[in-house]
Amino acid sequence: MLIDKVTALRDHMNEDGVSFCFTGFMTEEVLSGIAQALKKKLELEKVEINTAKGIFSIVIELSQNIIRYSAEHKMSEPEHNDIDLRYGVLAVGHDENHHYVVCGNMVHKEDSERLSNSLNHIKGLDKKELKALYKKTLREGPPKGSKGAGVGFVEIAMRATQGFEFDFQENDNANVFFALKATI
Amino acid sequence: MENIKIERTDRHPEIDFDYSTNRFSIRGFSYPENVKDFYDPILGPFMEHLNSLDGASVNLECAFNYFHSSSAQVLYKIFDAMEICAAKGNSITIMWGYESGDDNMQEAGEDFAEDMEHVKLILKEFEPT
Repeated sequence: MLIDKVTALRDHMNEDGVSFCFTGFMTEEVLSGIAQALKKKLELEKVEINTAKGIFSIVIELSQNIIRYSAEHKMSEPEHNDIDLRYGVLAVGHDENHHYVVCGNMVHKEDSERLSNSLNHIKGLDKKELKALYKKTLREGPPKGSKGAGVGFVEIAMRATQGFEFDFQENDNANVFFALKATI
Repeated sequence: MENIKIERTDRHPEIDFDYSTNRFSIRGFSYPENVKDFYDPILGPFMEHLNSLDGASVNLECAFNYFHSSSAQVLYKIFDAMEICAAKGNSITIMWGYESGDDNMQEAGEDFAEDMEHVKLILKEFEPT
């Protein structure tokens, strides 16, 4: 039944304290909309400025991550416009004590080990070390294969005051599902 | 150099570059859809201008509500160029604005100040917008 399906989805999100959830093809326009709505909600609820900016920042970095790197995508034929839609999950919510941002998307199997190593390394760094890595990467330029500044996850680690966790799950021969939760 | 004025949007900052007075300012949010498309046309002439200066006095105001990590890379480029320009004897001042209470933005300013030897960086609080 339609109503059961929709209310079940809504209840499931509610139970998890989710205030925004997007699953689908993420674009810069979708990100603009989410960012504006999120900004209004954070203002409305008078969330403390550093917490609010932390949540905002993590949402931006993780969304752009999906737009740039999700391995699950639909591309137009080369002779058409360069449409390239990337699929992912993004959720923002609040549990008993903290705000959180969750993202999930497919990554190529061959990239998952590099990503995992890099995240484990970042996870082990303290604030001073994170800052040093952030500066070094920005000055020396992005690592090979990066489409941005290459410091998105360092930024997330610096903003996630309560830390972050991540996981991978085998999907098929080519892809692995990657999920990350940052807590503020 | 031609002066540059760009109105702010939700995603990119207001740009006011006045080459005739050497007063430059960047204010607002910075997470443009495409960082290169937005900043490259602004940065090209600006870097060229900095290179050409001799005994000049330059003032740059940066007042960000937020900038994302790809924008941070642009800031490093600008500040590195300004430091070189100042080391050559030009007088360079950066006013680093931060919203009151925004610890992260304040710290970013303090870190930039620490890294720069010849540029004078002044921190300035502004009311949340």
